[in-house]
Amino acid sequence: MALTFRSVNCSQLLLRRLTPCMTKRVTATVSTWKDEQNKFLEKNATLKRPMSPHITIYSFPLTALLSGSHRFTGLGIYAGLAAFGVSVNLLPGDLASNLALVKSLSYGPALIFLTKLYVTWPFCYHYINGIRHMIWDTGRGMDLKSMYSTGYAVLGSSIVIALAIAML
Amino acid sequence: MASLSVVKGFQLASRQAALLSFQSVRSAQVAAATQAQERLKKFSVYRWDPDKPGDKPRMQEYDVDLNTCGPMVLDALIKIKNEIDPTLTFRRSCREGICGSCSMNINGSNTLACLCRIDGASLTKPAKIYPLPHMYIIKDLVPDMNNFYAQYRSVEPYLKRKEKVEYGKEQYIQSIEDRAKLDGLYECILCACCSTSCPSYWWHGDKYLGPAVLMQAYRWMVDSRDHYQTERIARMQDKFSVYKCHTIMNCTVTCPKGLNPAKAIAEIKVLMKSFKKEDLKSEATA
Amino acid sequence: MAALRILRTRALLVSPQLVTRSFLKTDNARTPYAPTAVHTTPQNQNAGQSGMMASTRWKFEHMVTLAMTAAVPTAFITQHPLLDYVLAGCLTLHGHWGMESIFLDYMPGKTLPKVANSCLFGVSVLTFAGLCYFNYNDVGITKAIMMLWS
Repeated sequence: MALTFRSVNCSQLLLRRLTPCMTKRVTATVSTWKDEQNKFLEKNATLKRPMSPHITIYSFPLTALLSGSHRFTGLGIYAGLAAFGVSVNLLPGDLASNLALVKSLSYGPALIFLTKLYVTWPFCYHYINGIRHMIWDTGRGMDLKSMYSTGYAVLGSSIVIALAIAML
Repeated sequence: MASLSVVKGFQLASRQAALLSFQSVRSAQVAAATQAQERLKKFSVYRWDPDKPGDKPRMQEYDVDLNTCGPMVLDALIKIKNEIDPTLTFRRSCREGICGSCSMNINGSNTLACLCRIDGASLTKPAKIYPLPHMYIIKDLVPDMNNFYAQYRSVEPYLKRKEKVEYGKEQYIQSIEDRAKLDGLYECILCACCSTSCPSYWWHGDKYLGPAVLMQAYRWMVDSRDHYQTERIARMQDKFSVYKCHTIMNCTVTCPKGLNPAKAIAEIKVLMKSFKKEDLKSEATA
Repeated sequence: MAALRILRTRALLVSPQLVTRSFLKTDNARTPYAPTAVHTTPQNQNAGQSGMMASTRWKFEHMVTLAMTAAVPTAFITQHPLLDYVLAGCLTLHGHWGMESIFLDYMPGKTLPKVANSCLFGVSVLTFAGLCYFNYNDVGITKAIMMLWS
């Protein structure tokens, strides 16, 4: 009897010693993904870790350059449109008279051609690349091979069409 | 007896002498050969030590003999760590392109070091090795990936069913066509090469999920065994999570496993076009 | 006796479920799991956002772009004055949304994009008004471009 009592006592002692690591209850403070993200932001701000280089070292493929050009030309077109929309009404007289004024300055044909090209190419490029974007939005043509072939096609055709329109 | 041992001793000695002379000649030949054939390639590696106060990130150059090095960049890094500079720190594990640990920026592109061959043709051009772009650096080539993992967790990348689940009772049947929809999506090893190649993720790494996480979100959206497609699409209904993708396509170009995250994101956008808020409410009350 | 003691301690150390569970067949004594708890509310950053969903806005942008793709060549071919107004509207709207996206991408913080967006709204309204005024009082966009080109 005494032996069994002692054995139970021993086992209870053992259990108590092992309880903290074995039967530990999961507490209610399970972190969410947002908590993890905030912890990440706080930690990196406190430790002042450096940021690895990005645009200075990355070798951008054709697709990235075309996408950047799409954005850049869009910006240029909007700026031009805003400038036109606002300023054209502020000019004295109507467009025909102002145009006659510009023509009287008689710039060389080369300069006029270059100006036309400078204005036309962004619009042509943005328009044709925009069509390419809309094809992507349907989920089509998103493999690497198509990306590169359509990319070159857009670049080539935009230059050709811009030249054609500038020569009109 | 004594004479026999003397003879034997003499034979042994002569044999040893012959062996020694042969070895010395051979080693001289080998040394001359390796010295003449040493192909030294420069590796320019990004270094930063958090334990050195005031240390600034810098590039350190190492010369590695390609004749005594494996073909991949990871082999060169390990060789540098073993023989030249033991303080060089980088992540690595499987050395066969399946674990995703050794992802880094090599010569301008994000890839796995264990799958990227050393360019032995141009020895004078140094191989430039940087950590994954626009990530907080813990040390040398080791970035802090916790944000990436938190975002992955946020899309709940596990099977969710709307009825009571009795594990092990029966399998969830999936047709061959439905299983084929997962091809090209499940193979992602979460190396983060694509997400860290995306300029949108550079500028908005906290709110934009990035191609890797979005592709996995799509993988679960399109899994026929999952019942929560509507909710998964609803999770994307804000300006940043998906719509910061401008189809720059850096992700697909750089993926070392040949996957196409850009296409998956385009498919998510297509799914979102047909999303209706009423579907969410009706399914919640059902 | 010692063996009995050991057995008793082992039974107390190891959970009863682990001891009785068989790994070969399904354990019917275990209760089936409840349906997976899911966040039915979208876990997005703009939790309190009222108004249209992001996908609806994207659909609008898409429709305007499609309309414009058709309108631009048609306007230059037919030179109808109505198409001038359509063009003015589409171009300004598309440009405005594009610029908003650029500001959202590159401007840090919260107040700077808001300020920039307000300025942009002003510029877009002025541009649209200017173009409409031009269409009404002067030759119109397409005719103007034709004139500039000659």
